[in-house]
Amino acid sequence: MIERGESLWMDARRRLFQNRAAVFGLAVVCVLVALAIFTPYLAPYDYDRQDLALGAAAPSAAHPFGTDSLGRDLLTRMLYGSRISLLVGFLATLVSMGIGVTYGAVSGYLGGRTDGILMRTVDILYALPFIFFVIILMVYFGRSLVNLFIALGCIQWLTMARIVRGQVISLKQKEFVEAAVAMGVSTPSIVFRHLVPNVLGPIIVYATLTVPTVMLEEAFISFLGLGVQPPMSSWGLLMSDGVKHLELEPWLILFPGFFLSLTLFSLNFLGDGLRDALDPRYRSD
Amino acid sequence: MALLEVEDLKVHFHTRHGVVKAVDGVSFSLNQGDVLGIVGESGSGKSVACLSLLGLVPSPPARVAGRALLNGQDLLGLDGDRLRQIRGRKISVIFQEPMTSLNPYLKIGAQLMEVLTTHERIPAADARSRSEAMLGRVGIPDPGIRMDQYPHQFSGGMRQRVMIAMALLAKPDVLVADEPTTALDVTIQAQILELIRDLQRELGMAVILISHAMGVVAEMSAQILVMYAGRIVERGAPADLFRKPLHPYTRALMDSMPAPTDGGSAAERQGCRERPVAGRRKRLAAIPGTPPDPANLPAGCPFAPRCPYVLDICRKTDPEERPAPENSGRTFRCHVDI
Amino acid sequence: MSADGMPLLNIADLKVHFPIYRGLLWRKTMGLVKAVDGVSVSVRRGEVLGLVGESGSGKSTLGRAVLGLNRPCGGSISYGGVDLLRLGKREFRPYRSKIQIIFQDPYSSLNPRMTVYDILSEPLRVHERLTRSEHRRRVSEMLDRVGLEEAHMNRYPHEFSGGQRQRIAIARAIIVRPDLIIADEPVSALDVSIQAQILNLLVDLQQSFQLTLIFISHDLAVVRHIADTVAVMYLGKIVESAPADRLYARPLNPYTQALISAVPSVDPATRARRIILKGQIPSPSDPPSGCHFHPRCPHAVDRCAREEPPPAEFAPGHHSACWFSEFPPS
Repeated sequence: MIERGESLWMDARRRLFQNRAAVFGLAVVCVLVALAIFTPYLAPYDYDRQDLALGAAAPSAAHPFGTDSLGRDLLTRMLYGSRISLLVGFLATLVSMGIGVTYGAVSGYLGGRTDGILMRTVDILYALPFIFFVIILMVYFGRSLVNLFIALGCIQWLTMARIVRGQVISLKQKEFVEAAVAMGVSTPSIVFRHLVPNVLGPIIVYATLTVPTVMLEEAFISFLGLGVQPPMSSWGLLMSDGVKHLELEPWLILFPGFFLSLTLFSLNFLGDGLRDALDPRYRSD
Repeated sequence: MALLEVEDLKVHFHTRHGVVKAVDGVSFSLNQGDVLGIVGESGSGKSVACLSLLGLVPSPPARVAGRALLNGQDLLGLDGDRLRQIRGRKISVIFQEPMTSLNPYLKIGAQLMEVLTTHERIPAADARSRSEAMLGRVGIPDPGIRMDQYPHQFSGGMRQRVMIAMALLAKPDVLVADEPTTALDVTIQAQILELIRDLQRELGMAVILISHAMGVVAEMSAQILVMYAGRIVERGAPADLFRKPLHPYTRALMDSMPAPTDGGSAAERQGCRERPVAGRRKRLAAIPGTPPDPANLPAGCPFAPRCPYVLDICRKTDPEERPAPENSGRTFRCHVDI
Repeated sequence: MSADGMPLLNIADLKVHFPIYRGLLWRKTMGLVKAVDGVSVSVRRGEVLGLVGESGSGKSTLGRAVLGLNRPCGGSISYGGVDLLRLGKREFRPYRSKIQIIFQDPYSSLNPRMTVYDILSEPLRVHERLTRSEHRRRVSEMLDRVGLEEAHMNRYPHEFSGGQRQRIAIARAIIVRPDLIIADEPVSALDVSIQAQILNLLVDLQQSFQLTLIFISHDLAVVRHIADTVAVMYLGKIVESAPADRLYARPLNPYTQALISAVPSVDPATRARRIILKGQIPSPSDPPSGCHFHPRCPHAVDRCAREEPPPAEFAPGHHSACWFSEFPPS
C-alpha cells in the first residue's frame, strides 16, 4: 500500500472525482451556477420585455424556449429566474443546515432535560403551519430576498435537526466519544470534531434534498405575493405559471420543469458522491 | 459408515479484490454420537466451512466445491427446498448471538412451535406440549409460563438455552454449535457446555463445536481440527494435541495463552521453553504478525511468515497433510517435525 | 518494587446507583440499579490491579467512576490524597491527563473520521501546549513505542487490523504520560494469537513508564497473568481480593472458587472438579437479601440469606466477604 499524506478534504476530493455520477452532477451544477452569474451578459432579451402581439409562441429560432402569454422570452426569464432559485435553494439550505446541525447535535449530545425541551420545541414548530410562520417573518422583517432566504431556512431546519439528533444519540454511545470525554476534550469540540463529521453522510444527503424543496416553497410564497415580485421571476414561479397553460402551451412547464429536475438529479448525484467521498472507509485503493 | 463425510470442501468467494479462499480443501468425517471440535481464529474458515454445508453461505459470490455426504446424500448438490428439509431436521445450528437469533416480536413459544409445524404436520396442542417439554429439558424453569414470554424477558444464558431447545426440537442427527458460549459469562458458559454435553449423550446426536477458545473445544470434543487460513493444519485428540502439538501454529497458540490455573502454559509444563522474564512480570510467547488476509494468502505455507520454525521450502510449497510420526491417527500439515 | 506504602488511588465505600425512570412527562423513579454498591479498594503506585467479574458485576462502572464518566452517589475516590468526587469540572481537568482509559472494542473506540495523527495528537492538544513539529515528534515516538510505524500516521482506523487498532488506542492513552490507566477488557475483542502481543505490550509499557494499571476483565487467565492483586466483583461488591498468586492458589470465597473452576482448560489434568453454579446473576436492581451470592452458592445456609457478610482479612492482603471463608469448604 502506498503511503499517503493527505488531509481528509484532499482525499475526499480525489475520491469524489473518481465517481462518474458525482462528477456529472458537479459539472451540471457548476454550469447552472455560471449561467446564473453571467445572466446579464447571456440573456438575449430583457426579462420584462413584452411582445403582446406575439403572445404565447412555441419555441423558435428567435425564442428557443418559446414565449409566455405576454410575449416574454422564456429563455431569458429562466436565466433570470435561475439566479433567484439557485440563490434561494443554496442559501436557505445553508441556513437550515447551520441551525439544524447545531441544534440537533447539541440536543442529542447533551440529552436529558435539555434534549427534552429542545425537541419538544421542534415538535411544536412542526405542528405550526409553516406558511403562517413565513408570513409572520416576512411581514415583521419586511419583504426582501434576504429575509426570504432566512425565513425558508428557518422552517427547513426542523427535519435536519431531528436527523442529526438521532444520529448523534446513537454515535455518542460509541467508545471514541467516551474516550474523548475521559481525555478532557471540551463539549463543543466533541460535538463538532467527533460527532458532526460522523454524521456528514446523512446531513449532505438531506441537504441535497432540501435544495429543490426550498425552490418550490419559494414559488409558493412568491405566488402569495410575499416573495419575488413580477415581472421578476423564479423557476418555481415560472412552473406554477406554466401549469395554468399546460394544455395549450406545454413548453411553459416543460422547460422550467426539466431544469428543476436536472438540478435535483445533479444535486442528488453530487450528494451521494460527497457522502461516500467524505467517508474514509470508502477510500479506494 | 460415517454419518457425515466431508471431502475436499472448498468455499471460494469471488470478489472485486480477487478470490477469497475462505475454505480451501477441508476434509473430515463425523460418526453418530461424535463430538468434533473445530478451533481457529477469526477468518480461519471454521464457521464458513460448516455453514456452507447447509447452504447458509451466500451462494452467488461463493463457489462451494467438494463433497459433503450426510447418510450418503451429497448436501452440496441440493437445491433450496431440499436443503430446507435437511436444515433443522437433520442438521441444526446454534449461533453465537442468542440476542439476534430470536425474533423480538414473537413469543418464545410461537418461535419454538414454528420449528415443529414447518417440518411436520402436527396439531398445535402437540407442538406446544413438545416445545414446553423441550424448554424444560434445557433447564428453563416454569416452561409453561416462559412459553408466553418474549425474548427480551430472557437473560443471555436463558436465550441460548432457548436456541438449543429450538435446535433440538426436530431431533437432528447433527448439531452445529457455532461459538455457542462466546457471548456468555464464564459461569453461564460452564452451564451451557454441560447442557450440550448432557443432551448429546442423551440423544446420541453428533455435535460439531466451533470455537476460537481452545479450552472450550478441548473439554467437549473427542477429536479436534485446528484451522488456519481456510485449511486444517492439525487434527487429533485433545489430550495428544495438548501434550505434543505437531504443527507450529497449534504449539504457538498454546504457548501464547495465559494459564488459567497453576502450572503455567503448556510449553512451560513440558519444560521445553523457559518462560521469558522481563522485569518482575513474565511475558507471553506471542505469535508475531497477524493472521493472513484470505484474499491475499502468502505463497507456500500460509503460516510461514509467522512461524518460528520456518524453512526455505515453507515459503515455496504448501505442505500436504501427513500422518503423525507415531501414527496415532493424528495428522498435521507442516514440512517440519518440531 | 516501586510500589511504596502510600496508595495512588484509594476508593472507599463507593456507590454508583442508576435510577430507572418510567413515564414520559412526569418521570418517576421506579427503582435503582446498584451497579457499584459499597466498594473499597486501593491501588499502589506501579501496581496492577485486576478487576474480575461477570457481566453486571459493576467492574466497568467502577472503572468509569474513577474517570469521572459517571456520577457516584456515595463514597470517595481519593487520588494522591485528593478526593476526585469533590472536585468541580474545572478542578478535575488536570486529572483527565493523569488517568486514561483503554476500551475493549478497538473498532468503536477510535473515531473513524480521524487519522491516526489526529487521534493521537488530540490528548496533546487538550493538555499540553506544543508546536506542530513537537506534536509530530511525540506522535511518531509513541507510534514506534507501541509497535507501529511513523508512516501509519496519516491512515484511518479502518485500515488497521484489530490488534493494530488496539495499539493505537493504547498509544492514545499513554501519550500524555498518565499515572493511572484503566484498561477495560483490552484484549477480549482480539484474536487469540493477537491477545498475547497486546498483553506483552501492556506489560512492557506498564514497566517502562511505571504505570499503575487497573485491568478489568472477565477472563481469569489473562488477569492472573498481568495482575499483582486481584479483586473479584459480584453484583456491585468486591467479594474477594488478594495477591494474584494467592487468590488463584487458595480462593476463599465460594464465588471465586466457582469462577476459577469454570474456566475451560486445555490441560486435562487441571480439569478435575468443576463447580457448576445454578441460575444466573440476579438483576442489580433487585439483588437477593443477605449475601448476594447465596441463591447460587453451593454452601449457603440460612444465615447467608439473612445477613450480609462483611469483607474480612483472612491472611495478609487477602480479604473475602463470606461467612465461611475462615473454614473454606473445599
